[in-house]
Amino acid sequence: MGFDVSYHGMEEISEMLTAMEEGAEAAAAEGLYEGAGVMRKGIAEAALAIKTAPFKYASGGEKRLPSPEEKEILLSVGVGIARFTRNGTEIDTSVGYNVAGYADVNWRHMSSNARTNYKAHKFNGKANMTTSTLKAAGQYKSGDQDRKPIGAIANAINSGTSFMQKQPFFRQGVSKKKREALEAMSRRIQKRFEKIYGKTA
Amino acid sequence: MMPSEYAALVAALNLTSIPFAECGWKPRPEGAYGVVQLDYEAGSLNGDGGKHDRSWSGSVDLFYPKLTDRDDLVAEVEETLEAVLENCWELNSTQYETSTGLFHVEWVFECVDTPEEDPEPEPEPEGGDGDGV
Repeated sequence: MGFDVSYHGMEEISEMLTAMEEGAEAAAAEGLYEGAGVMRKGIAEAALAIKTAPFKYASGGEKRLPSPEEKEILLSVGVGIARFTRNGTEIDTSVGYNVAGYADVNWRHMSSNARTNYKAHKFNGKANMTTSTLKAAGQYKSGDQDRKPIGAIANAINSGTSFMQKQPFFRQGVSKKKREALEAMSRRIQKRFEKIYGKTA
Repeated sequence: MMPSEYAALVAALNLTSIPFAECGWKPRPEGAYGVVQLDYEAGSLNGDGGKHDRSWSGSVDLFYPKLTDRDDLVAEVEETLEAVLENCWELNSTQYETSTGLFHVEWVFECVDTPEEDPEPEPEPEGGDGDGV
């Protein structure tokens, strides 16, 4: 006496797996973008809480707080999401101020009550052009050498320097939003898969 | 209240050859110096209507004049971190300050406030296999 073994729904599973292979990368990218957005929001919220004080030179071993102009620069450029890159089967991105460009930080001493000009610059639509690139492109103007990379300002506030008070807003923002970002990513990927093969998946 | 692991880290860093201070120096010392501080609460487990195992994120900063490479100082700090916090730390950033000529190495760590351990319960008398009927 023998017995029969039969599988049901193998074709459907095979179709699902094929569809998954095709849609996986797009779904992962969408999820990553969603997560990066949450992180970006968290860092921007944390940047709002940066403590400031009118600029004065730190002397005698004292540390200074960032000036309101420096904080304003960070708030005006916002937090960026880098271009996605493939790393083997993974998709990577980074969130931050790395390619935020350059800014005038010609603040005055707090005793001279002059109004300070600050401005975030983007050269020719490209934010991360260096002085030598500008010179080669013939776009270099005098005064450009005073511009400071915004990423360096953010880093000086986040990591502190020997004369700047450390305020780790970046790490704190990331730490607070880590769980929320993971949830947002999995929600988005779930939604995408539902679109590919219906509610049952 | 200071987390117990953080207190242990501060004590261990003070035993190194680098002068360490909590939250900053005034005035700044000449030569190499370090700063250790707690930055923010990184997360905690809640239960029984209270907080348990509070965890904190903090940072260790090392500044030294960049005349020569001082890998020995970096190694000294890293060995201390590893001895106290095992693997709950990482190198976060390094930067050179052109205006002061100082090199700055920053580590971040997470530490927990471990409550004092209860004395070990007395081992149950051997011999009652099963459910002890």
